[in-house]
Amino acid sequence: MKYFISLILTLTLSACALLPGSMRTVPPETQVAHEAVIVTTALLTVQKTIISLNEARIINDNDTRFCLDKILQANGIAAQLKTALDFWHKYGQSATALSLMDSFKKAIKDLKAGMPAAALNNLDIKSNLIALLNAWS
Amino acid sequence: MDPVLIISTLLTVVKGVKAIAGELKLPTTDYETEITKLQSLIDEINANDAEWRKNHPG
Repeated sequence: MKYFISLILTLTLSACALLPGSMRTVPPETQVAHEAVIVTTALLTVQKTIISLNEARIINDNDTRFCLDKILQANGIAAQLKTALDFWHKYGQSATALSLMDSFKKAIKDLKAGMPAAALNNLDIKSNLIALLNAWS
Repeated sequence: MDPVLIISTLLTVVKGVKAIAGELKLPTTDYETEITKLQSLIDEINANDAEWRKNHPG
C-alpha cells in the first residue's frame, strides 16, 4: 500500500511539474509569432491561388490586382508585426504587437469582403480564408 | 497492491496529461524558429507579388 501511494504521488507530481514547465518554455511572443505564421501561410496560399486563377483566365487582371493589393496590405502588417515581436522578445511585452494583431485580423476580413465572386467560389480560396479567419477566433 | 488498480491509475494520469496538453495547443518550437518562418513567408508573398506585377503592368 505504501508503494502504491508513493507511485501515485510521484506520477501526480511529475504531471504537475511537467505542465507549468511546458508553459514557461513558450513565452507569449512565441505564441503570437506561431499564430502569425499560421495566418501568413494561409495568406500565401490564397495569393498563389489568386495568381493561378488569373493565369487560367478565371479572374481578370483588375480583380487580381485588387486581391493582390489587399494581400500585400495584410503582408505589410505581418512585416510590422514581425518587427514588433522582435522588440517584444528583446525588451518585454509590446502593446504595439497586440494592436498589430488586431489590424492583421481586420486586413484579412477586408480581403475576404473584397474578394471577387469568381475567386471566392474557388474551393482553395474558400477553405484558406476560413482557415485565416478561424486562426483568430 | 492491486495491479489492475495501478494500471488503471497510470492510464488515467496519462489520459489527463494528454488532454491538458491538447487543450493548451502549445507550439513545440522556439521564438527564433517561428520568426524565421514568418520572415520567409513575408518575403515569399512580396516576391510573388512583384513577379506578377512585372508580368502584368498597368
